[in-house]
Order: sequence, then C-alpha cells, then structure tokens
Amino acid sequence: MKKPFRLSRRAFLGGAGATLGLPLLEAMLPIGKTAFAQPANPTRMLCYYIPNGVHMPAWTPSQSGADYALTPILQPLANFKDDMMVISNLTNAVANAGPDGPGDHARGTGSFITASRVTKTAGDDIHNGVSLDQVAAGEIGRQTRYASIEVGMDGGGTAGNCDSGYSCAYTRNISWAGPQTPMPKITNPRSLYDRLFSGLDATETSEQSQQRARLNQSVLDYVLSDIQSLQQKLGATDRAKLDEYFTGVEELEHGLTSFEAGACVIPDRPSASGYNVTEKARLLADLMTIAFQCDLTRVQTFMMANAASERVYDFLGINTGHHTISHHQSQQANFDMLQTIDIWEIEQFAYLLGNLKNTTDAGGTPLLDSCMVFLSSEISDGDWHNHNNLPVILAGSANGYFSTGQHVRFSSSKPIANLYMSMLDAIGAPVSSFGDDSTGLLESIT
Amino acid sequence: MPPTHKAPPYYQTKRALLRLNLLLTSLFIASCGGGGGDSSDSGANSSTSSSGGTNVGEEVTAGKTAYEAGCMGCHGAEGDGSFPIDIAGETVESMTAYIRDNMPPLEANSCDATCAASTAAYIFSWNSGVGPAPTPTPVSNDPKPPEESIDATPVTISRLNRSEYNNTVRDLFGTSMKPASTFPEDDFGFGFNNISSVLSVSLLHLEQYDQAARALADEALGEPESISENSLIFEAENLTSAVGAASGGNWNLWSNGVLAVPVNISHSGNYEITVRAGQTAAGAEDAHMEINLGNANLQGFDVSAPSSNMEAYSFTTPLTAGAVDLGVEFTNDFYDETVEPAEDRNLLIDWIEVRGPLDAVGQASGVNREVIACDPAQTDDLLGCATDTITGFGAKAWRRPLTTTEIATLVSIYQYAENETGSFHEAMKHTIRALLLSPNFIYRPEMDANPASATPQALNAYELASRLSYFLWSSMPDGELFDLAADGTLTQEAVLREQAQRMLADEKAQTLVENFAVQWLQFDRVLEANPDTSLYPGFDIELVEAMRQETRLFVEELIETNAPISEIFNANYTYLNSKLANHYGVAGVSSSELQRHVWADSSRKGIFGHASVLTATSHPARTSPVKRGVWVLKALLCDEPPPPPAGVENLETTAPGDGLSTRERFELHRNRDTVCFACHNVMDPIGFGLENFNPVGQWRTSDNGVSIDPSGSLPGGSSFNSASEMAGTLADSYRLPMCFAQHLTTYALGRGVKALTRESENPDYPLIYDIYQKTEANGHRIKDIIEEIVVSDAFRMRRGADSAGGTQ
Repeated sequence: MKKPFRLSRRAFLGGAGATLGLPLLEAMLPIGKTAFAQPANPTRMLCYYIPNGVHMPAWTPSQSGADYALTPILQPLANFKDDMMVISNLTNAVANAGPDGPGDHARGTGSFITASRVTKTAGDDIHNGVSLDQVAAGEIGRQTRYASIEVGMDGGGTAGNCDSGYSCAYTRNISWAGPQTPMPKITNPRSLYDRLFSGLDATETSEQSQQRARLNQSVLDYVLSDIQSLQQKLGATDRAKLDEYFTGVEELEHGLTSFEAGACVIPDRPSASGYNVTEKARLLADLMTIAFQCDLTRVQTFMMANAASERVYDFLGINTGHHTISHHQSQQANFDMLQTIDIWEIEQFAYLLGNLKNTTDAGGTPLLDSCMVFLSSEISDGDWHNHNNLPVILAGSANGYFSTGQHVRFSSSKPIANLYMSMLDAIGAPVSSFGDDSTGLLESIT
Repeated sequence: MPPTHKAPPYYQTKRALLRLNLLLTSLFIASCGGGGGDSSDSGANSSTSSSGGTNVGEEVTAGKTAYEAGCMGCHGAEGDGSFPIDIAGETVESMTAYIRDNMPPLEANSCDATCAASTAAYIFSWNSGVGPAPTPTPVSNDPKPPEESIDATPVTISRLNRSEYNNTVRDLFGTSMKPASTFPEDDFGFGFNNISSVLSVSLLHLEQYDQAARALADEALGEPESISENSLIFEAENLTSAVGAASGGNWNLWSNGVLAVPVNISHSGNYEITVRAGQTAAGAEDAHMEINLGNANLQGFDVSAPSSNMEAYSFTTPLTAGAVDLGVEFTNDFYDETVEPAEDRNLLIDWIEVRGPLDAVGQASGVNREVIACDPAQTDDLLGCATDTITGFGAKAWRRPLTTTEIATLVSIYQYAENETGSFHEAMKHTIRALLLSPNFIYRPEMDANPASATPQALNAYELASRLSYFLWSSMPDGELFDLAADGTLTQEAVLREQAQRMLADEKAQTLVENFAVQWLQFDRVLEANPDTSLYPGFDIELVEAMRQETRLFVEELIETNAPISEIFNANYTYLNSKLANHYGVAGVSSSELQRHVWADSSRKGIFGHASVLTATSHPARTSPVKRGVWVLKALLCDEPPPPPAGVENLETTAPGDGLSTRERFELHRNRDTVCFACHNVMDPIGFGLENFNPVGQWRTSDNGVSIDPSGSLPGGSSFNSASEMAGTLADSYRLPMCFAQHLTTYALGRGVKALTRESENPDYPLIYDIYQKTEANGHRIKDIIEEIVVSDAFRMRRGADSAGGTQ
C-alpha cells in the first residue's frame, strides 16, 4: 500500500496557535475511515448554566421588540445585540415545589434542560428525563468524534449533602443521557484539551493505524459481549446499570475508530492549574469554541458553577458566598452584590460569544451564526426560588432558524420546554413533545 | 389563636412501622413543628359545609388551585409537608383570617380574603388533620424494640468509585499510579460517594477507564523492545509531604521539608528533571529549593519567581532503572510575625517532570511478576504463560476464579493480538486491557440464583470477601481473604469476625477515616469555610490543615482503641501541633507534627472542641447556631430537621442588631416568628451550647460585648450549662450509637440505610436496633459495631428487588 503523507505529532501540536487547514487534518484521519462530506457550517448547540438566578430588575429590558435598551446586567452583550434574543416569561414549571417541598436549586438544575420532574431522593432511584443536548446528540452525535461534550467550572464538593434531600447528581449535572445517567462534566482545561485532541497521532503508518483499529475493535467487542453475558445473570436493576456501561463502550468504540475534524486552530495545551476563576472560565470557553470549530462535537453544555453555588467572588470585592447573597431579603446591599456577580457571569458569556463570533467556520462565516447558545439559571429570583420568568438568552441564529436581535416578551407564561422543542427543530432533531409540559414550538422567535 | 404548625406527618399515619418511628423520632422533633398543644377531633370533620352562600364545590376547587400554587411546597399535599397544618380548634373563619394575615410568610396579604377563604375551605375539606401532640422523650431513653424482622434489602450492582479504583490497582499491580484521580467525580447519595444506585457511567468514564487500563498494562509489561524518550509529569498537588498542603493546584511547602516524588524509571540513562516552582517572598533571601535523590542532593536552585508567575527550573542527571525517590526540598523557611502583616516565605511547587532517557539506549525492563505468570525471556511456552496469567491474575482482578469458558475466551483474545502483533508483550497488554475494561473488574457483581426472586440468599464466599474488603479497606481482598473464600470458610460467622479484626488492624483500614469518617462528619468542609481574616488574622491554609488532621487523628484513635462511640463526645484528648495549640491558646506544644494532647479540663472535650467542625459550621464573621445545631442533629443523632421553605431561607443573614449577641438575635427571631420557631427551638439551643467557640473554633467568653450564655435545654427537658454538659447528655442518648450504625451501615452496604430518619418509612430499624442491642453490654464500642454489621444478615445476604417493593 502506498504510504500516505502523514503529519508528525510534534508538527501538529507544536507552535502557538498554528493554523491548520482542512486538508492537513484529513491527512490525520485513521486510514480506512473515509471523511464524508462535511457541511461548511453545521448547526451547533451550547447550553450555558449560571447558578442562583439573577437580579431580575437589572436584567429584564423594559422594552420588547428590536429596539430595546440593554439593562445593566446585559450591558456586556452590547456587541452581540443583533446576534441574540432576550426571552422573557418562560417557565420551567416541572421544577415547582409541589408536594416535594424544598430543594428548588436541585430540582431546577436537574430539570434545567430536561424540563422533566426529577424524583426527590438522596440516593435511591434517581430519575430524570433525557436532556435537550442529549436528545440532539442522539440524533446528530454520530457525525462527529464526540456526540457531546460536558464542561463545567466546579467538580464535587467535600461533602455529599446537596440540597434538601436531593442527590448531588441533580445539583452537579444538567446533561442527562438517561433517567439515571447524568453526564459528568470535565472541569479541568488541560483534561478537556487532552480529551479533544487525544489520539491525533500522525506518526503512525497506515499499517499501524489499521492494526490499532482492529485491536481496539477486538477489546471493545469482547467487553460488549462480556457485559451481555453478565447481564443475563443479573436482576432488572443491575441489568439497567450495565446498560449504561454498554452504551459507554459503544460510544468509546465510535470515538476510537472514527472521527474527523474540520478546519481549526489548535491552541497551546493549557497548564493543569495555576489560573484564577476568570482565567479558567475563559480557557474553557476557548476550548469549547475550538471543539465546535474543529467539528469534534456539535453539542456542548457548560455549568458556570454547581447548583446553589457558594463561590466567593472576593476578586469582585464580595466576601460572602453567592448563594447566601442570593437570599437577598430585598436588601439593597445584596442586590448590588448580586448585580456585580451577574455582570461578571455575563461578561464570561460575552467572552464566549466573542470567541464564536470572531472564529470563522469552514464556510468562512462566523461560527456564532451556526450556533444556538442558550443561557439560563435554575431559578429566577434567589430569595423566592421561583421557576417562572426565568432569565433566558438565546444567542446565534442557528443558521438563520432564529430571529435574533430582539427582546421577546410573552404576555402570558410559556413552557421553557417549548423553546427546547424549537432548539431541537433547529438542529435537525425535531420532536413532537419535550419534557413534561411542552405544548409545541415556541412562537415569535423564528 | 392562630392555627399552629403541628408535628410532621408520620405522627398521623397508622402503619405499625410508622408508629414505631413516631416514638423514636419524637425525641428531638417533638417540638419541631410542635407547639400545637391540645388536640381534639372536633375540628377535623365538622367544617366542610361552613362556607354559606357560595357553592362549596367551586370554592374548594378554587382553594385547591390556590393551595397547590402557594402553600403545598411547605405544607405538603394535605397539610402533611415539612410544615404540617393543624386545624384543631379552628374554624374556616379563623383559618381564613390567619391565612389572609400571615400566609405565605414574608408575602403576607398576597392571598386576599377571597383567596384565603377558598384556601381554608379546601383545607377543611380534608378528612385528616388532627393527631395527638407527641410527648417528648428524654434523650437517654432506650430505643423501642422493632416490630418487623431484619430485611436484606436489595443492593444495586456496585461500581468501583475513584478511591476504590486507585486502591484496587495499587493492590493488584503494586503500582504507584493513581489513574482514577482524573476520573469524573463520583456523585454522592445519602452523604457518601459509594452509593451504588447513584454511581453511573458515561463515555467520559469509559475513555478514562481505557486510558487507565492501557497505562497499567504498559507498566506491567515493561518495555521489551525499542526504548523511547518518555516524559513523566507529576502534579505536585497529587503528591504528599509531611509539610505543607495542596493549594490551588500547587503544593505549598510552608516550612522546611521535602515533597516526595516516587518515580518508576523504566530505563537507566540521563534524564532531564524540571520543577515548576515559585515563592512567596519574605526576608532577605529567595526560597531555596534542593532536588534530592534518596538522601543525596542532586541540584539546588534559588527560586526567585513569584508564586503568581512560576518558572520552570531544569537540570540533567543520570538515573538508574527502578523505583527512585526524588524529593523537592525547601531549606530556608522564614517567618516573622512581629511585623504586620506577618512575613512568611513559602515554596510552591506546580509540577515535576522527569523526561528521558535522553540517550535512549539500554535493555528491556522486566515484566511485573505479580501480574505475568512467567518471565517471558526464560520460557518457551508463551501461550501457557498467557493462559496462566489469565487464570491467576484474572482471578485477582475479577475477585473470583474465572470459569473455563471465560479463560478460553480471553486466551483467544490473547491469541488474536499475538497474531496481529507477533509480540507476547503487546498481546498480554491487550489481554490485560480487556480484563480491566470488563464489567467484572469495574463492577462488583453479586449473582442471584434467581434474579426475579425476592427471597434473600447468602452471598457466596467471594462476594462476601469483596463486600468485606471494600467496606474496611476500600480495596480488593488480599491473599488471605481469597484463600478463605476458596475453601468457603469465610462464610462462617467466627471466621468473619476474626477477619474483620485482622483487617481493622491493617493500615489499609485507614480508609475508614479517610473515606467513611470524613464524609460522615463532613469536617473537610472547613476547606470551603471562608472566615473573615480581618477578624481572624491567624486563619490560613496551614491552620486548616492542622484542623483537618486533628479530627482525622482523633477518629483514628477512636477506631484503633475500639472506644465506645460516646467517646466522640466525651474524649478528654485530641491532637495538636504548635500552630493549632496556639490557635486554641494551649501552651507547651512545639512540634509541627500533630501529637496527642490530654485536656486539663472538660471545656473542649470531644468533637465539640474541634475547630474543623466549628469553623465549617460558621459564617465568615460570626457563628451559626443553626448550622451547628443541624450538624449535630444530622451527623450524630440522625434527626435532620426539614430545610426551611423557600422565601424564609437564610433569615439569619439579617444584619446584626446593635449590642446584641448572636444568641440574643436568634432568640428574638425565634420568639417573633412562629413559622420558624418549631424547628429552631430544637436546632438553636444545641448551637447556643457551643457559643463559647467563635467562628474559627477559639474559646471566647463574650460575643459583641455580651457575656456568652452557653446554657440551654434539649427536647425532653434535659438542661445543660455548657458545651461539655450538653456533650455528656448527648453521649448517653441511644440515638448516638444507632445513628453511627446507620451511617456506617450505609457506607458498608453502599445503599441508603434508614432507621432513624424523618422519612415516612424506616425499613432498616430492625437491623440497626439489632446492632444496638448486641453491642450494648460493652458500651457500643466502634469495632464491635463494625463486627456486628459484618456478621449481620444484611451484610451477608442479598435479594433481588420485588416489584411490590415490600419486604419478605
């Protein structure tokens, strides 16, 4: 066999921000896997979670339509006003207390993009719906190396008491692949980098590459059959647990044996530590951008913190935990601090949008145009823990699907699940209903 | 009189187990939601027709809507939520007025007269409502015997968590690698991160499992052929030292000492060693860093780079193949507290890289004979060696002998890879990768003869060996356990007891402190505490580490000496180093290592004197009697009160009143607000008892200019005048040993064990009661409790889930 041109790994990863074009990356594809035609600008989805609600009086624009004035918290988004929508009066009613009582942070976060009521439990029988991103990933995920990427700022805490009788699974994960399968997030920039770019070893010969693929196949086929034979001897609950494992192995097989990357700029490998909160948020935003640009995935989620985060924003001059302040008791001092934190959060969001806007897609258009970037929180007001009138931004038009550049304010509350239906429609994964309370595609946004 | 918020709902239920629970839990929660005095049946059924004029059905329907929107979150579906509704002595009219004027709290008047009337009508449409007020039970009362028998309730198949994975590969390979440190964090259930129903798996896990399996296999097989340059990077925060602590992704050497870097050098040759380091500058000199090999010094550096902008310091040195102890040493500590702020020179290490051999020549390293059944250089029968490895190593990895079919399948996997690569080493790596990715390694399967049957059955001896070793060691069984499993004797009660004792004496049982006690007592939350350093200038990471270490060593001694669990409240000793002693105002401790210290008086006895706990349950600038009270109720008495409803959460963050102590402000708040009073009347007095300890756990006699009043009373009437008196009373409560057993059994079984909870059902009460009784004669000693858990039916048996969810 003719030995094709191959990149050396050092050449590939060396140098700061070397620009690599599509042909070079195609040379790095595992032999035997044909790159199928990539759309120049595939539609992408990113769901962005911020904790503890926001200070709504400084969030909601007073005018609706295209000519609305940005409020103090939205001010950092001035450059993106035409690229985004502010949507008011959406409700995630499945997170209301009902008979389950306290635990709005866990309930609102668990159902953040599932719009499904989570089962109140500290451990047994956790149960949630499948999240928006995972529905999309299930439909389009096989077209990229990673069906989805989950990213966050904070890992676990030092203790397992999460929120009022709810398992930490609900407070730490917004992405759910199945009723009992939260998708854990990567919280270290270097780990995310390594995951995105691992296995791009262009020093291999084609024979080595093919052999590696066969050996991977051999191991993973063995493991799959091992799982199945074990399942035959187990009860229903244990079989379901092993189904998770089976799915994971299948996905690993996909990731190891086929992937392709689009035109993209590979950044330097970040250090494993040594950056502050803002730097970390930006590093992760850089990597999420590159993941889209390289077409390593088209579906991502990001958690600015875990539910009811008590992060101390001392660098903003605030020495009390965020969640504690969010119980503002209508005190102006607390409002001021909340607004400061909210603005910082939106600045980080704006940084991400700036990345997406300034990065070009394979087709030469801004990456942001192909995206829908959804931002919201698990509650609206920190004191009242309400799940109506949520703070919502949708940025990017998803290749023209959404009519950006407006403040859409519904006169009567609409289920946020309807927005999720629209987002799935936009990415080519339409559903007839979503979550527990959708009633149809959301009007006035397309 | 307005309606009072009455006792939690399970007081009103009729099932036997729940009655039992009522008696048990009434101890502390009698007055939580209590306060409702008399009761009669008169109010319950008499009022549904009392709203004249209007259509009753419509009004009730409207009321139902209003109730569900505005009330149900706190009051439950039918007044049986966290804040139960008591309508005794009320009429629809009085209830209407009360709702209109008072509900919801903080948003009173939002439900107008019409809304209030319909809501009241709806409330009176229920047929339940009134139950007798529970009688508080003194804390030292004996528990009531159960009316049900012990059930081996189902346990979901258990996946190794991160700690278990690391410990298992340590024992399986003898490796120093800790591959699970980068796995996704394990979720918690019931306060612990080994709860099998919560431990899920995703693609991210699989990617990491695969990388770990390949790295472990590579290490086990050595490098037989081409030797290439290799880079090993050690993140300093993952290393250990007797000095300093992990801090923000670095290791902070805050006084003279060595950060140990254990390296496995695969091939002899020249290596480049790079240390990324920085200093916090103080005094005249830069921080001096020495790189050591064993006791020999290799190279020294003056680290001038600041910790905020570290630099890499490199040099080249020859190293010999094998285990090598590199050390990064800080040699010129400087500390001057006579100036303000104090000057403190520290050395911070980010990472250490060992790269080489730079002149890559040399001979193959040997295989790990703990894993590979032969020396491949010395045998002609490589297939036989592979088969023996699969049989021998496989049985350790899967914690049971493999069946002949399983062995044959794995041999074929080996042969496939050998055929592909022509290399024994590569084929063996391939096979080990398969063994480690198998669910038989990642999970601990327990087989049911008939998975559909809910009849309990005994675990086989191998399954039992794993339960035992993961409970006491967070790791795989050792050779002795495997031997006892092989001949089946492990299932005998006497052998089990003997093994439990043996294992508890092994240093691997330290995981009971690191994994169990840390999660049970949650004292590592001191890491998340954020005391106001303008008020408490001595509070720094070094002190936090001493605090964490104090509680670890304390619990370790409790376990090692088989102390009665009451010692957790009564112990007259602790562990201090000079830093912590200084913090506590204790003279005469000069060591930087923590050492045992016996208290001269009882003021700081037991866990109540530990700054770790006291700081973790405080606000930055003041104590939190509520957090402290909840911590005691939850961790030590298993009587966690319900969380406050939305809208009243964190009322305690209101600004301090002038000239009032924390206690005085809380008492104002408790008396004023009847919604809060019920639960706070239980939590707060416990916290008040600890008011002599300030937000960082130092002794104080006044707060905001007011003398501390540490007196109070526990529900049921026991009064105390100090923290130590309260500790003495709580130490005598039956709830302490039962609560400890509940937490420990949850950890042992990896499922939520419910015996004393406020939930409506406590199916494990019989199990925990049995352990309580069997350890009573000897004073509920810790190892005795462990032993009784191990020999209990719940630990030695399992059953499948029956669809009805009932018990057998």
